[in-house]
Amino acid sequence: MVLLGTLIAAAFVLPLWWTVASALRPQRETFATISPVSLWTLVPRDLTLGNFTRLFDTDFAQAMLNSAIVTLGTLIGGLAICAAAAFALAVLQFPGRAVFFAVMVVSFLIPFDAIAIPLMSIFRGAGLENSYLALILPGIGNGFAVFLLRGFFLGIPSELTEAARMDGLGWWGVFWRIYLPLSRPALIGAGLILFVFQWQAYLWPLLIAPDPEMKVAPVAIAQFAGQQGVDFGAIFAGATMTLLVPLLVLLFFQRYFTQSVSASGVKG
Amino acid sequence: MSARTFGRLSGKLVMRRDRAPAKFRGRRFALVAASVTVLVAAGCGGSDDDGSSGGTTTLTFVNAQDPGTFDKVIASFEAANPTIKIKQQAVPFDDLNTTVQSRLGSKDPSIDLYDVDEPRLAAFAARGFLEPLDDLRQQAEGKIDPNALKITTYNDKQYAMPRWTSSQLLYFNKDLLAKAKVPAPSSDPASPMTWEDVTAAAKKAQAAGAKNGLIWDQVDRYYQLQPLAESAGGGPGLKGDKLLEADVTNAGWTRAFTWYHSVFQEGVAPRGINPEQTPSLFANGETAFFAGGPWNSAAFDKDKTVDYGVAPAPAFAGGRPATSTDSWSTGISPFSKHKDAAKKFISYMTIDPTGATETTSNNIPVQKDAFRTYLDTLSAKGERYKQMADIIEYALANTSVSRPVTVGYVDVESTMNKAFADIRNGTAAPDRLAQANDEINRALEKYSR
Repeated sequence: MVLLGTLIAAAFVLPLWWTVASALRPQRETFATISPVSLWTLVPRDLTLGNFTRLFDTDFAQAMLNSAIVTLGTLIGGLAICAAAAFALAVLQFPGRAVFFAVMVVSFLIPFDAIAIPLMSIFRGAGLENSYLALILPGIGNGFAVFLLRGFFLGIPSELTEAARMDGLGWWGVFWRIYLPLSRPALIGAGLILFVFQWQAYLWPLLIAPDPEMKVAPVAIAQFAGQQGVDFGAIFAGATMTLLVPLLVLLFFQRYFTQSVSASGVKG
Repeated sequence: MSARTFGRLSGKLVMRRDRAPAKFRGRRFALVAASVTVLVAAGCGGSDDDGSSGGTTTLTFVNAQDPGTFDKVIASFEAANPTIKIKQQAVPFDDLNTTVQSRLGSKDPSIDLYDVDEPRLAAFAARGFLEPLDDLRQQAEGKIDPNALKITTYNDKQYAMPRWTSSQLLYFNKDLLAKAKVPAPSSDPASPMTWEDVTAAAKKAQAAGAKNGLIWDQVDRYYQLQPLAESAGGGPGLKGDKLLEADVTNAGWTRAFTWYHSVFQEGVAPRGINPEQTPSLFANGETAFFAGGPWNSAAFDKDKTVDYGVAPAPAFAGGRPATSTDSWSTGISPFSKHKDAAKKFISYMTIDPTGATETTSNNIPVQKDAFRTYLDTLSAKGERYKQMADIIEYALANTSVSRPVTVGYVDVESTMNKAFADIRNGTAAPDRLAQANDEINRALEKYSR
């Protein structure tokens, strides 16, 4: 069982390892070492940082910064909006609540690519192209994050709300002082969903923010594949840089993420 | 309902004001302030579509070329035209057509000029995504290669101005051929090897240690594989007045792709390789023959791992030599608000000899003076490049075959690219071509209605 688990874990790590190894070797070695498979497939024979140097000779650092700004903006705005929506759907009683929730659940099942082009026309009409706001806004209303948070909120005993209301706390107070502090794991889980959505965004930035100053990291990486050649070294170096950030975030928050996913399905 | 009103109402509901302790109020304020700051800051940076300010017109040029390709021509044009600035929006190569179509489909006025892939010009023009440039066509007569002007014409109107063209060569690894005692192919442009001879030589090279015998630069792409069928007498794979009927099951196509299939089946060419990876297989010295374009030499020269020679692109025994051609042109969006300024820039980069030379980069210009400069510059680099220049000049004049100009080109290309992948990965050519023939006819029906 342990051996099987180790093998499966190794199978997941292998592509990641190969990406990092390819970022650290000269481009000519990348495909020369694939077949036959040997130690040199996974270990760079000539270690080099040349791919990273070349990467940062371009505007990749700016693109990473843009991705970070967009992701941070989405996290702050998205958590505020999604948590408030989830609170309303879990705690407040109002006509049509079930319908609202059903619409929201359906909304996150629609692939974003399907709505990207009409959404682009709306954003353009509002003069938002080539702005951080245009990149952030579609990410902050995330149906899946609302779904996750609502599930967690439903697990919080209603007695707490009743007691707080009896003591004179308003709905904002209940939300802010009771639900949010109790929901840290769920908020982290929802935050990770928002984070991943924006960190890997590609089509939307390409359509709505094509100016070079607004380029995000995934688009910058794609541009290393040109018509007359592909700079695989820079692509692997860029991929290594962009995967480091979510890797660190996930490693740090993984405990909360697992908790949030397991707890959000439990009704109190 | 504002937050404040909501707060007031909820306060009334419980008959008491909800007052959080000072430390919570402070934290709440800090969070709200941070959110507002981020979102307001995020809103900054939006651009206006007009592109004009203080008497200066800014043109947006969407393209998918390597960074730096247009820097020289833009600097030179801006110096001569201080009231016009060119802003480039570089899009990843694979996403150019989708991005441009999506944006122009929503009548986006922020694109002034864009890269037009020549075989896609007809579809773009038919959908109203290109401004006619007949006035520039008149200026270009006698200055630009007439074939290039023809390929950028649709329904007798000039819809884009051609910048570059392209051609094909056969690269060979000198060391691997010498080891196998295979004579190096002739560099005489008029004496190409036959594909049958290349296959035999490639097998010998493999027997003497070469890992791969032969590989194409673009193993799954119509651009490079159409000439195989043309050489075997199969034509472009389309027939009819408007080229809206599939013709990929004729004897020429069947012969060419049965052979193509066998090359991979017999292990002469490696299977399971993406087009993006093929140049590396020649550059690292593992492959005896490489069929590619002049642009590939830059990558082969960079690492200096392979000692290579060049020969004209092969043809089938008894067939006619045929080589891929055409490249990129520049078009103007009909939704641009600066068409006159955009025409001025296009005229400079394509018709003016200095501008066309500055736009050349790694490509073959179609402006006649710039083309001569390109050949001279290439020849001056050494014997191998002199041979390359001679082959390019001869091929462009004698063996080039353009991709078909039809509104249905994109359907044909995407269907055939999948068919080529299947054929090289093991599907029998006659069956797969028959399937592709049906698929193309179904896809092209919409244009005949």
